[in-house]
Amino acid sequence: MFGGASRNRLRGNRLSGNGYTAQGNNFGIGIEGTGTNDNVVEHNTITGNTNGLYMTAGVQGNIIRRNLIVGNPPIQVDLDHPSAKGVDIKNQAQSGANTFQSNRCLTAVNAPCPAVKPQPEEKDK
Amino acid sequence: MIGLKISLWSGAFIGALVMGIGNAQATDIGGTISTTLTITEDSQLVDDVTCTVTGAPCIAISGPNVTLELNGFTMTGQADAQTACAGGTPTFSENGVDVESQTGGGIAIRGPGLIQRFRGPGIFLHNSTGVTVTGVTVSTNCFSGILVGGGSDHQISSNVSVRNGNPVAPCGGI
Repeated sequence: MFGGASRNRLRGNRLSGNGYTAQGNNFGIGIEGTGTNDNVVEHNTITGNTNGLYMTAGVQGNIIRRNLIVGNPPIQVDLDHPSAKGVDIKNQAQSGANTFQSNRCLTAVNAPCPAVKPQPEEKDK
Repeated sequence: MIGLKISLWSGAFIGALVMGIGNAQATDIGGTISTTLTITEDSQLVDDVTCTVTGAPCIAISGPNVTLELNGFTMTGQADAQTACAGGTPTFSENGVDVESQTGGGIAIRGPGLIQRFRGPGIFLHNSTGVTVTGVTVSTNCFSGILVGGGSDHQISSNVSVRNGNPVAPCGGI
């Protein structure tokens, strides 16, 4: 999402194997550019992409909750292209500008990872 | 089974006729699309689609309240089968399904179905409002599988996005 896309809901999608390693900022899900605010990204499975979730500076009010975001990039990409530096969540927005709740992730820039503990609501499913 | 085949071929034939016009209301779609097909009423794929449109979308939806049902069929563009962006010059406007500046709401793109190998995004929602995209698989498109530019209030759920990306621009699954 880019260019001021707002109030969208991305739910229950599966994103895998997306992105060129050389580009570095490719992703499973991207929230990019000024005004791309107030979106909800929930219950998605995001694995094996160049980055998992990619957020640029300036985005705000987005809620990222209950996603599985792991293995971004896959180990073979990490080993063969160490300069790519992909992570599960790359958040370049100001700390606190967006909300992260109950995601499962291992690596991040400026996001609460690693986080793997099941939440109470998830035990009931 | 024979009846089903006859139905599918009839649909493809009708679709092919409509595609020659390039603009249609309720439409059964299948076969080759060589000029952007703009749909203005509920439409469905009745066979696989091969898109040879250059520098423009394959199917454009002009709403409001228009649903495109993929019905389990495949839309295939002109990008490279392995790497997408290596299939000639990446062309942003050459996307699979395009929703441009539609703010009336009620537009839907429904799977199951596969949108693959476009030299632009697989699905592009641009400056539009209230579009639903559900159950679609988007794969091996140059730029993003599903790209949302501007606009608001879309519901994008239960889709599968794999092997999309771009060597220059920050793109990916959605």
